[in-house]
Formats: sequence, structure tokens, C-alpha cells
Amino acid sequence: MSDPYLILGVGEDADDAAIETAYLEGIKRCPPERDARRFEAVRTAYETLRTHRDRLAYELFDTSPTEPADVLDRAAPIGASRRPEPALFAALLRGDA
Amino acid sequence: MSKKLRRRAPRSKSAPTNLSPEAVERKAREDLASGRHREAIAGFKQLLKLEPRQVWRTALADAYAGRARELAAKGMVKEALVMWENRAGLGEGIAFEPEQAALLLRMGRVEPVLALFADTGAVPSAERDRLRPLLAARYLAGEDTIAERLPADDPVVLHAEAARAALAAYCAGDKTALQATLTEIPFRSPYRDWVQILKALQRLPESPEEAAGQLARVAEGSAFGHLRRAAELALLPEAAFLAAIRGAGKTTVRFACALRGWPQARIVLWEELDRLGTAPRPETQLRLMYRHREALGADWIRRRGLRLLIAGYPASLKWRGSMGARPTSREEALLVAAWVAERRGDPWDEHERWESYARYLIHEQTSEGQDSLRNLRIALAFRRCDGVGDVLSSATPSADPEDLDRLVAAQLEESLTWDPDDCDTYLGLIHYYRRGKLLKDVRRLLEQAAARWPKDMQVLGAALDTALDAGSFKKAAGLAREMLALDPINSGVRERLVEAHLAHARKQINKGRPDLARKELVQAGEWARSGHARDQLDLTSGLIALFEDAETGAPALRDMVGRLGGGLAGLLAFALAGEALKLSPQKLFKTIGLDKPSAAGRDDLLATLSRLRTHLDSGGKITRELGTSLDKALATAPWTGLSRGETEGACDTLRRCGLHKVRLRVARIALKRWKGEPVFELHAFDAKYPKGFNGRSDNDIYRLEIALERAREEGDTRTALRIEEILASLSPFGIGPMPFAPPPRSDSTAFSPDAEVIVTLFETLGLDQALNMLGVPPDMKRDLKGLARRNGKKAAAETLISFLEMLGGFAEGGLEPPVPRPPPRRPAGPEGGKPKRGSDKDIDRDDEFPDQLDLF
Repeated sequence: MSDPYLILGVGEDADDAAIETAYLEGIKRCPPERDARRFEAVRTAYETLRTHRDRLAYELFDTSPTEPADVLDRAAPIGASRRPEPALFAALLRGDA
Repeated sequence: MSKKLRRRAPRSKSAPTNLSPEAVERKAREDLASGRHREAIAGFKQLLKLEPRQVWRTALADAYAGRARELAAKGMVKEALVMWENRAGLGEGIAFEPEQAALLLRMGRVEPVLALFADTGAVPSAERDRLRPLLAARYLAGEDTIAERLPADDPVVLHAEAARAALAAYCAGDKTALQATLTEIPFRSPYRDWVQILKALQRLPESPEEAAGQLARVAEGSAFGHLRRAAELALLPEAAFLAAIRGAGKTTVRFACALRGWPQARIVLWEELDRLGTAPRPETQLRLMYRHREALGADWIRRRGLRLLIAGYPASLKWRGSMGARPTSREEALLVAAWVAERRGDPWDEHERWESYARYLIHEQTSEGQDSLRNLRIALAFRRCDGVGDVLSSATPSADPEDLDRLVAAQLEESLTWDPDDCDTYLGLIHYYRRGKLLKDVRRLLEQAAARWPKDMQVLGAALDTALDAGSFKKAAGLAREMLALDPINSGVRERLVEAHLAHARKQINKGRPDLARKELVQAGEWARSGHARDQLDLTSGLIALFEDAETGAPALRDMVGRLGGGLAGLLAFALAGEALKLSPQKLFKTIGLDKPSAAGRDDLLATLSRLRTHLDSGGKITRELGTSLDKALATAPWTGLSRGETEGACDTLRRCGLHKVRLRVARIALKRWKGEPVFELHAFDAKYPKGFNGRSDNDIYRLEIALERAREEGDTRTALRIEEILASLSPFGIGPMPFAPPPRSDSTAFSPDAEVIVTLFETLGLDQALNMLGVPPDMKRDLKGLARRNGKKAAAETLISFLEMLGGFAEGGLEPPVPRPPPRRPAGPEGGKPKRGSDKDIDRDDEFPDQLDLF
């Protein structure tokens, strides 16, 4: 995922305070010792969007291609982890990968 | 209905019948060892027809097993099973392989496995233990007959209920029940891997690392392997997960997606994205995004979709219209054009495109009224060219206002009218104008910056530097004090303050006011902390004493030099202090009766080099006269006493001082001690040709190329890069063979490629692509493209050929090849000097580069 708004989970109209709040929540959720990669992504996203000027610069100058993960996260965000149904267990135990 | 006769595909050749059994066996064993199982089967079968030897039967069994595994891996389960059956049919002495049972179970044929399991004679006890997990997994998959057919005390049956209850508890989210049921299953149970997997799943999503550790305990070939792999997939980071599910089975993907919390809509959208392939065309991607515009949001698609237009620009500007979306606006088109220019990397184009974008915004601004967001957008657009190309960071202002650096500086200045709150832009411009000594501009910007940020250390630092540049030492000292009041532990400011007082003192000495100079030195002494600064103050003070009274001053200075070590290092410090007052070192030495300088020993040599480094680091230079003295003094220095690292550091310092004679000598001495050491080969070459590499010998280049290879082998990237730079500057085409080197020719036949061929190449590949393919340097490429635009492709082709012929002439006549021109600048104008935009007519490029041949 490369879209910093999606990484922080804020809308495009978020202000400095909303972005800072989202960042603090993000690093609380993914501290570096638990998920270093995710922490880094949150940190980078925050740096990208921190100020009004940064957000405008991102809009004007960022040309990184849209990744499939961006499209997926935007259209159908990940929800809470689910326990797979017993039928899926049975299929995998049968060897139907 | 007629039956089609299909020719059977030719099988592998069986061993020729005329071979001896030994030869057939040797070949069959070779085939088996190298994984050619089909050939090995044929060979051993042939041998077994001759004689039923047990070793050949065992070898055939291995070949069958190998082939079965091969087929199973390809998903040819039925065929693999036939191989296992063939293997089992070889009779006694062939151990049963549980993989055969696994395949049977995979095909849903539980009955034969159960029969095999019941036949205690056919399957030894150890193999039965290996079969049990397979049966256990199958039982959990819903094969109830397994429990009915096996004895009640068999572990598969004994722990079956607990294993099923654990699954039910997990699926119901009942942690307590899950824990309880899992403890009922003993460690040595056939359900052991099942327990590990459920324990791992229970830890998700909170503790993925612990879950991964738990899953790692399940062996790769376990009966529960598919489950393990599906769970492991769910643990991957998002990017890796998306890549991994491309090749995974549907059930595995659904299982992993459930664990990761993917909703159904996401899975469906992913499948749609997956169908586009790994590198979808931007247009297709955009179309998909517009198909899902409701979920993605029209504004998001507009912004993200704009990036996709870069690939097919300018035709891509029409894509959105064709997809039923709002067509690309003028502003968006200008923005995409600027992005395209950035991708192409031409700073002139970048400047022009961002300028156009900003001008458009300004134009819109006047018609729509003031808007702070738009103002900032304009300012950012004006600053972008410098931001991307870092144009002003080390440039010196050109005299010609049409030069790129001047145009970029003008953009930055204009950006400040739209957004005056960007301190970095002020500082960048101040440093740029300082380099060109444009003090009027510097002061104007400093005033504006200081009014906005009066306590900013960087702004104060720039003001201090400017004051020093202008010789306003009092002002500089005041500014340094102001900075120290804000940041008392700032040693850099302290040093600059000392330097400012020292400079002021020197100014007073030159004015003939030693009294005022002494005052300055006293003030400097209050701030000086480092040994170097104190030495400088003492020596300057000694020099004042010398001017005032030579009789008492000279011995005092001699003593002072003695206190500094007395050797070359002390004399150097003295000479540098004298040079700062524009005094000739030779005369000074004579005045105070010092000997000719020479290095006293290893320590003195190292101290001298250290002093030189400190002097250079503080922005000092070595004058020609001092350089000559040092050249002589260092020639006889004890270089062999230095270690490898010290010698390398010495070479580098001598390079910075411009003492190339000594450097060459040191590098050669080093090469005697460390034969072929790339870094010393580099210094030896570089020092031998200090004024450019004209007249360099082939032998020297050969040695440098060998050094490059060695540096690469040894992983000495820094030296390798430096050598590459030198080699690249020797040839207009860099390192390696000439991209369009003339073919070997006879004496009578001149090299003359056909212009038509090159024109055809231009037309087939496009001018840009063709020139890239030919490895034409960027600046020449730009010229050729300009020529092609003005006079046609044929003219460009002919010019290129004339250049090639010229290269041929160099090779033949031993002339120097053309010196490459620095890349980032446009061709020079008719009056010479800096490059400028626009008129390609009447260009005289040789003004700036006299060694450059006139090619066009």
C-alpha cells in the first residue's frame, strides 16, 4: 500500500490534528518491536502528510503508481480477522489446496 | 464414429540392446542419480529381464518412487499412483512408502489404505506410525469410516473426538473449550501437528510471530501441510501476501483471506485485479478503477488515475473521456505534462513545464480571486524544478539571465511572492547569490528572512557568513554573539566567531593598526577552544610582535614554532599564519632564521598532514609558493613509515592540496609495498595527469583498468566508482567497447556507414530510442535531435556518421578523441560563456571547451 491517507486511515480532507491523531493511534497499534515494517509505513505516511504544505506537495508531486493494495483498501478495506469455516479446514485436510 | 489414430508420443530411448549389462547398469544408475527417472526405469527393467537381481529391483523401486514424486508435483496424481503401484508390485524387500498412501487418500481412496494398514505383514510398525497422521487428517476431513475400521485403541481413534471437538471450539471462538480439548491430545498423538496448527491459529491476529513459531514446528511433509501453508500465507506482510496468493490454490486463498479479515467484496475485487496480470496496462487499470467508481470514490479515482496518464502521454489525456468520466482539464493536462518531463529528466523541460503549470494557476487566480491554497500550489510548482534537479545547491550564478540556474533562481524568487513563509527557499537563494558574490541580492533576501525569522539559527548563520564575505568583521562578531546567546554550546559558531575576530585582526594588521589587531586577538582568545584556533592566535600575535620589533619578535616566533613541535608541522602552521597576512613563507623563514622545512619523522609527517587537513576543512587554500615549499619538504618525508590507511589518507590530503608531484611519489612508493592496490593505482594515474588526461599512455590506462577489476572483485566500491569516472571521462562513450565502433577495415577502405541505414534505424526505432541504442552521449543526443527537427533525420544521420568517421581518424592517426562536454548544460550561445535556451542557430560550442572538436 502506498497511499499515505489509506495507511493512516484518514480522509483526504483531514487536517493537521486529525493526521497527528491517526499517526499516534497507528504507532500505538503497530509499535516497531511488533511490526517494524508497518510502523515504518505509518511513520512515512505521517511525514508525507504532516502539514498542509506536505499534503499539497504530495498531491502535486507524488507520481508513484497506484498499487493493487491501494485499490483494494480503498474499495473494500480489511475487516476483523475471521475464523475460517470448518468446510475450509476439511478441504485443506483432504488436500484440496 | 471414426476413431482417430493418434501417434503415441515417442518415449525416451531405451538403452541400446547391444550394450553390455554393466554398461546398461552404469547408465541407469547415472540416470537415477541425475533425476532422469524414466530412463532409469527403462534401464533397470531391461536389466531385470536378464536377471532378477535384488539390487536392480531396489534401484528400480527408487526410480519408480522418484518418477511418482515428479508426477505428483506436477499434479498428475493418477499417473503418480500408477508408479507407486508398480513399485509396490516389485515384491519383497521393497519398503512401503507412506507417500503412496497419501496419494490414495488424496484421491479419496481410503479403503486400500485401510486395508494396507490392517495388513501388519505388509507395513512395518514404523511405517504404520507414519501412516497414522494421514488417516487422522482424513478423519478430521469427515471420513468417518476410518474410525469404524480401525481398532478402538488405535491413537487415530483414541484422540479423534478431542481433535474434532478442538476444531468445533476454535470455529465457535470458545477459547476455554479449545484449550481443554487440546490438552486431551498427547504429544505423541497422530494429531500432534493438528494441535500445533490450532494453537497457532488461536494466536492470530494478536501474536503473528508466536503463531509463525508454532507453525514452524509442523514439518513440511506433514499430513497437515496444506493447512500449515494456508495459515502461514495469512502471516505474510500485505505486499508479499498479494504476490503469494497469485500462485496459491483457491481454498488456501480463501482460508488465508478469512484469517486476514478480507471481506468477500475484497476477494472478488482482488480476483478481478489478478486477471489484469502482474504488469497491467495503465489504461486497463484506469478502466477497472472507473468500473468500481462507487466504491473507490470519484475524487480518489481522479487523483490516482491522473498518475496513470503519465504512461501514455499525450494520447492518455483522452482516456478518461472514452471511459465516460469527466475529461482531463487543462490544469490536469499541464500537471501530467510536468510529471512526464520529470520522468524524462531534462531540467530545461522540467523548468518549462512547471512554469507553464504555475502560470496557468496564476492566470486562473486572477479570474477567480485570491485563494491561499492556490497560492501555495503556485509557489510549490515554481520551486519544483530546483527541488527535483537540485539546480542551485552548488551552482554559481551565471552571468547570462537565460541560463538554467538564473531561470530557476527567478522561479524561486517568484515563489516567495506567493508563499513567503518558506525559510529554506530564502536560505537556498542566499547561499546561491553568496557563491556569485551578488551581495546586493543576498542582503535583500537576508533582510526579508531576518524580518520573518529573527531568531532562526540558519538565517543568523547566513547573515554571519555574508558579513564575513563582505569583510564586516564587527558585524560578524555581533551576529556570532547573538547565535551563541541562543545556542551556547554551538562550537561551530564559536569557531566562526574566532575566525571572524582573526580575520578582523588581519585586516587591522594590513591597515597598519597592530593595536586594534591585538584587541581583536584578545576578543578571539575569549572564544577560542580548539588547539588549532589557539595556535593561530598565538602565531598571529607573534607576527604582530615581529612587525613591531623584529629583534625581539623573531626569537619569540622561533620559540613559538618550537613549541608547536619544531618540525615541518610547526613550520606549516607558521607559514599558514603568515600566508593569511599575505606574507611569503620563504621570506618569513629567512626573517626569523628558520631552517629549510623538512619532515622530522613519522609523527611530524602525520602532524603536518593533519594540519593540512584542518586548514582545508576550514576553507583554506594552499598558495603556489607554499605548495612549492611543501613539494620539496615532503619529497624526502619518511613515507614508508606510514601504514596503508595512513598512506591512503595522505594521498587524499595531497590531492586536496593540489600537491600532485608528491602524491605521485607517495602512490608509487605505496605501490611498491602493496602491489596493484587499486586506490594507489588511482592516485598514481590521477596525480600523473593533473591537468586532464591528454597524452596519457596506454600502459597507464591498462593499469587503471586492471585496478578497476580488482577494486570490483574486492568490493571496494568507492575506488571502483572513482576509477570508472576517470575512465568514463577518457572516452565520450565511457567504459567498455565503443557502441558503434567502426568495423575492421582494410587500409584502402574508409569506414563509412550508410546514412540511409541510420535514417531507417531512426524511423524504425524512433530517434530517441535509436540514439539511446547507439549509446550516443546525452548532450550530443540533444544536438542531434535538434538537428533532426530543423534539417531532417538525414542531416542528423550524416552528422552522426561524420563523427564516426572522425573517431576512425583518431584511431588511425593517433589523435586525441574529442573531450566529452559536461552533460547538464545547453549549448553555448554565440558569445560563448554559459549555455542558454532557445536559439540553436549560430552556436559556437567550442568557446567553452576549446579541446572539443567542432562536430556540427
